[in-house]
Amino acid sequence: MKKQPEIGSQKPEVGSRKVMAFWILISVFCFLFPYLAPAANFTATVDRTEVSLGEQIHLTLRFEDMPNTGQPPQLPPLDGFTTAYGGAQTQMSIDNGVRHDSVAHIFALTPTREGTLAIPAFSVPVGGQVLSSQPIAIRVTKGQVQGGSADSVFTQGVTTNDIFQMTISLPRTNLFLNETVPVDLKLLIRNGIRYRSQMPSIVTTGFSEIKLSRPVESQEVIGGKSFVVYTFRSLTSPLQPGNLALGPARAAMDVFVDSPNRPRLPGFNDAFFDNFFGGSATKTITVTSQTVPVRVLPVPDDGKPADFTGAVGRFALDVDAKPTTLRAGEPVTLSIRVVGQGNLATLAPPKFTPPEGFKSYEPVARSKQTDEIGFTGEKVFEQVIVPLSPRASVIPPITFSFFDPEAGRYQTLSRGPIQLTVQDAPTGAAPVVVGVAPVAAAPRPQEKLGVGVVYLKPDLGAPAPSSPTLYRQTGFLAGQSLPVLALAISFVVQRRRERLRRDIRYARARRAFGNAQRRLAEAERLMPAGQIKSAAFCAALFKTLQDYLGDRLNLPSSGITSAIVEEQLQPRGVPPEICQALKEVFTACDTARFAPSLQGNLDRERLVKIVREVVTAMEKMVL
Amino acid sequence: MFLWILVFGIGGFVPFAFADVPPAFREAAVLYDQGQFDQAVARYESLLAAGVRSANLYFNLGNAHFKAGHVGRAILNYERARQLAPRDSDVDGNLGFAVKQSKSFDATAAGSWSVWLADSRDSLTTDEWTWLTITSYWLALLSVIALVWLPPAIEWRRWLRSAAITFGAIALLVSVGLGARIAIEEGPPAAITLAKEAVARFAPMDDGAKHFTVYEGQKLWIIGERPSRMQGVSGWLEVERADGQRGWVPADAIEKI
Repeated sequence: MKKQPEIGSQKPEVGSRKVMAFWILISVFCFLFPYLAPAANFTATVDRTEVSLGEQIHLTLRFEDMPNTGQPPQLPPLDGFTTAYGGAQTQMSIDNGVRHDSVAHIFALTPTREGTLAIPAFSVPVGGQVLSSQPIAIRVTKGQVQGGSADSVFTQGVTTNDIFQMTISLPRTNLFLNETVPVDLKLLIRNGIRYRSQMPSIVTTGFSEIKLSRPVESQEVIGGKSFVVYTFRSLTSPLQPGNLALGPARAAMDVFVDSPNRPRLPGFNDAFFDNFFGGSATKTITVTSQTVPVRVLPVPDDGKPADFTGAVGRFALDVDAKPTTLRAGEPVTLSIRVVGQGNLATLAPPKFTPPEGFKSYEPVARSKQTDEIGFTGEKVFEQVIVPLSPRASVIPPITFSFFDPEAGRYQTLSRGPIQLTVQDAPTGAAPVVVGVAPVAAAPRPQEKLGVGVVYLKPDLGAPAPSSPTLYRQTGFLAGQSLPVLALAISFVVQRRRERLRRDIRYARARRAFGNAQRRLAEAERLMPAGQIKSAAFCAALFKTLQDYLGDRLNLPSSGITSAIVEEQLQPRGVPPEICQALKEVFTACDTARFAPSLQGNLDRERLVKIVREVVTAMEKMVL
Repeated sequence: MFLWILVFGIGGFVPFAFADVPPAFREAAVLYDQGQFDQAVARYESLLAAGVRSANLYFNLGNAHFKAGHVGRAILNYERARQLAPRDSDVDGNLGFAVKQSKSFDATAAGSWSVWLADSRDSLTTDEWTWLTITSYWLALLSVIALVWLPPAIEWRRWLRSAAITFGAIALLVSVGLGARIAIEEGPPAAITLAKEAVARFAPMDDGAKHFTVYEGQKLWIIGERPSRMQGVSGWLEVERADGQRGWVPADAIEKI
């Protein structure tokens, strides 16, 4: 009876077709809809419309739902601004099933003059129509923002000074020309902000260049908020009189900020996932300090000592001469030591002219700073003078004048005179060559080798190896397994050879199968029909079995007959079908060899096949 | 002796092609002779910047630094030269001399067992230790393989047995040296103090508590790092002194060998 389909068994097929059709429609809809719906849009915006001269604003040109060429747009020259391309941000969103793509190209604009400047409207041709942005007016003021600031591109909704502060400080703002003063620059960054900052630089118009060295890093709590504080200390000197301004200092930094709209998934609160999934953005900002107005006066002419050489600061003087007892013609080292704080680096030696009777050499200066920036320290001028006769026995007083900027007046220090005891140079004595022993001197003392630096190598020598060290090279290490492998193979081969040599039973069993295969091949050659060859074939087959069983059972092959089946094979668990097959072959061979007249139609192929199968099956058995 | 000849014979395959002397190398020597050591340093460093590396170059650079009064940098470059040419007596002599000139010299350490062992370990490069180990290991195993294959009646099996035992023992011994070299290479990198002196602190902050002072030329081992978040400003490195004391020093105060 033909089985009827069960009710409902066909419904799923109908249903699946409908579901498939539905999904195809949805897919087509989803594919086409984004190309149908969104309308292109173009805007130009700035992060602020009021800016101080020298600060940057960021102009963002946003292209929505337009083909992205991947190339930044070329900005026309803007009157009153210098421009720099700052990079692009791309964004994709799906709103009510409509895909929106936008690319924002950001430009940094730096105003070059004060006043109200205009960023004109920009036009973009899109698919036969032209989209235009609105012009933007920017008010540029002269003064710097006092107290430090950062670009508002980062600080939307956040008070800048809560996050970054940078200040320049000087000990005094009334300075004298060539006066050296320490400058402290402090950069404060709120703890918890992820950033990477560049070294700040200070505008030093009218001042000597300020080279900032490694800052001191510390922590400060200001108004209950914790800050990392980088303190840079350096020196500067005003180079021209008048009303000058030191600063501002600027530090560009990359700040990593979280995307405000991205919800955080449970377990994905680490910043790494922000970066990985694009949840954080890098904003480049510039932190700017205040400028410090400085009034610079020239050092006064009134009361300027004749020996004033430009030293401005607060100093002490010390003078020493060694040796003070000597013969005429021998050198005296005069050390003039100026200690204190001020323009030590540019300090000239005190004016000193040796009196008549002295020969003098140019002084040599060496400095030693006692603070990190070289504001305090000492400078020693060593001058070699030679009294030419015993009359030259007094080094006159040495004076040093400097201008003390804190006291606002000159000071003159004086040390000396220094009395020398100068004897006549010996006359008539033969010149003595230093280091040469007189003839017939005492026995030569034990030689003491000198120590010093061995001289340069004359050539480059062997070049350093460019490849990694050997133990890190995989190929080299793998090669070291070869001798172990060779040793293992040698052991196995030798053990086998030894066993074949010593263990007859094992040796016969190992060669039984190979011999059987060879003999079977010989028997196969005798397979073609023929009475005479039939006996020879059966003899060959019989011999094959005799040798194989004799080798496997370690028995004399010549004594193997069909009786072996009951006597040896069956007790050893050889399956009955194999025993039966063996008996059949033995019987057939015996009949062919000894009673060929009784032999019917001998199926030689079948016999060979049986023997082959039996040998193969028995090879897998343990006898 | 045979092993040494063999190893350095094999090692001789490596880079025995002496390079031509570049002009900057000759110019540096002239500047050195004229006493313009800073300019000589600049010439030698230009060669390094061009990718040239050799023990002699580091040696000469060390000399120029030493004469210019930069004892720390001299020691650094002598150490680099010694890594490439560990048995060069000139390098050893100048390194020892420079170390004695530095404030970091510890006279009590000289002559101790640990120094002798370290000198033995450093008397060969890692590649030389590797060749020595591998050669003795191959010879030992080849002797054993020959023993396996040769018939028992052959008389010089006795010699092969002795060779196998000797080379095996040598392989074990030199593998200890190789292991020590690898431990050094894979361990914390060594560095030389370049600053006249620097304070090692308990924390990587300028206001961290002072732990100890390191001096120019002193050898340290870098075990940790805290990079700076300000470009152009060095961060902090956690270092270990020879006596095991650890502290944080500014990264620009030391340089890896």
